[in-house]
This record gives sequence, structure tokens and C-alpha cells, in this order.
Amino acid sequence: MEIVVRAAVLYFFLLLLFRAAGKRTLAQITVFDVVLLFVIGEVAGPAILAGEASLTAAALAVVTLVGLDVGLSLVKRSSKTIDRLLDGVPVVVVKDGRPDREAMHRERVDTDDVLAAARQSRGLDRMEAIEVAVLERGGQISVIPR
Amino acid sequence: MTARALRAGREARREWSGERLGQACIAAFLAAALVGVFGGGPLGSAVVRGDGGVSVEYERFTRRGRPQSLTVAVPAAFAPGGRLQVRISAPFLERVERLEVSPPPVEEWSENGERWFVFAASGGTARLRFRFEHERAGLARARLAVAERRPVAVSQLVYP
Repeated sequence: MEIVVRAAVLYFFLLLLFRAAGKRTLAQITVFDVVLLFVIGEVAGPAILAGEASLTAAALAVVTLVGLDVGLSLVKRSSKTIDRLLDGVPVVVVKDGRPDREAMHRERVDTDDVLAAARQSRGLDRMEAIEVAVLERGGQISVIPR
Repeated sequence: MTARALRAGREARREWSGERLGQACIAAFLAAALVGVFGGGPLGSAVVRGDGGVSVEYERFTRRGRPQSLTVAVPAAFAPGGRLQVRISAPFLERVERLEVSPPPVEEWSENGERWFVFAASGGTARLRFRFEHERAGLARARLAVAERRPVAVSQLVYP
């Protein structure tokens, strides 16, 4: 019975919290967002299952993490420098069908990764068919065909 | 602009207002946590003073299962014959667990809804520490007294 109540309380609490935080909060845009989601899961889980763990302590920890995320998103909105510092910048890895070897080497991306993204997103199977490929801030590769 | 687009715009603005309100609540919640409304912090602890310089230091806000202590400072004048008697309302002690008293009492008994603790006084102000964890959430009220003196009231808000 207690587990049902605790789980329900936490469910509605998290639902309200993430509605308040906005659509882009922890939308798995960057690797860090994914890490943060795991951490929140680790914090919230014991509060449901373990009788000794405090629901309030879990709520405090989760609100702190989400609050920091919302706060930093507001800071990033007002400062491009901080935005770039915290989330990085997109990097062009292929231009006019030609791979930028240095960028790919530094970002640890190879031509197979680019071609896989090109096949999956655009149905392209040749490097020459790519106008631009960009390694996005979240680690995905966007492909624009010629 | 179509009626549907206008309605969508209104709904979006309502949602943004809700989000702003929610984010203000998040900020208020965090500010409250930092000042100690959920335990710890400057507002988290309190001191009450009783007759003759007796004082009780305790956590005003706490959480279930969180180890904490309630410290009673008693001037030497309250220990005639080297024996210091402290009594605490039994209902308060019934809702706590893992109670540890330091220094250990030399004698202990229950009487008229109160728990009596007798300590060997060694001169100077005695500092008696009761360590415990709250077993359940809610408002925990205690009445604490030295010997037959007027009790001081202590109340703790225990979060789940």
C-alpha cells in the first residue's frame, strides 16, 4: 500500500515538475541531458521502493537538478558564449561531398558514421550526394543532400 | 488568421504562463530548501530557553528517517546531589526510533505519560544529547523539563 502511495505521489510530482520546466528540459538534446535523466532516475527510484528513503529528500534532489537545468537554459539563452561553452558548437564534417578529415579526426567521426546517417535520414549512399553533414551538439549527424 | 490558429496561439500563451508560474515555484522551492525549510540551513534549527538558563536546541524542520539530535543544556544549579533529572513527554519518544542518549543515563523510568532520565552531573553546564530518527511524518510535539520545573515546548515538522 505504501509503495503505491509513494509511487503515485512521485509520479504526479515529476509530471508537474517536468510540465513546469518546459518542453525542452532534458529532451535528450545533449549527452549531458541523458546523463542527468539517469541520475534523476537513480535518485527517485529508492524513494519509491525503500521504506527508509525520504520522499522529501528525493524531491529536493530532483528539483535541484531540474531547477539547475532550467536556470542554465535561461543563462544560455542570454549569453551565446556560455551556451557554446556548456553545449559546444555544431561542426561541419562534410562539405560539398568532401569530408573534412581534420574535423572528423578531432570529433572521432569516420566516413562510415556519416554514410550511416546519410542512409538512415536521407536514403543517400554516396559521400558525393551530400551537400553538408554536420555533427550536431547532441552527437547526431545531420545530412543535407545536394 | 483562422479561428483554429488563434485558439492555438491562446493555448500556447496559457501554457507559457503556466510554465513561468511553475518555474517560479521551482525557484521558491529551492530558495526555501536553501534557507532550511526542509531541514538543515539557518531556519532548520531552533533553540528554546526555559527557566534558569536551561536551553533546548533541536531541528525545527526534519525528515522521516533522518538522524538528528536534540541537545539540552542544563546549568549545574539544577543537579542537587550530583543527580540531574530530565523528563520528556512519552508520546514524542514513542514516535522516534534508534534513540541514543549521551551521556548514558544512570536511571530511566516512565511515569504519568513522561519518560524520566537521571544523569550523573559532573559540575558546570551539562549538555545532554538525545539522538534519534523520526519514524513517521507529521508534527511532532514534545514537552521537556528539568526535574519539577516548568516544561519547555518543542515542535518539529517531520516531512515524509
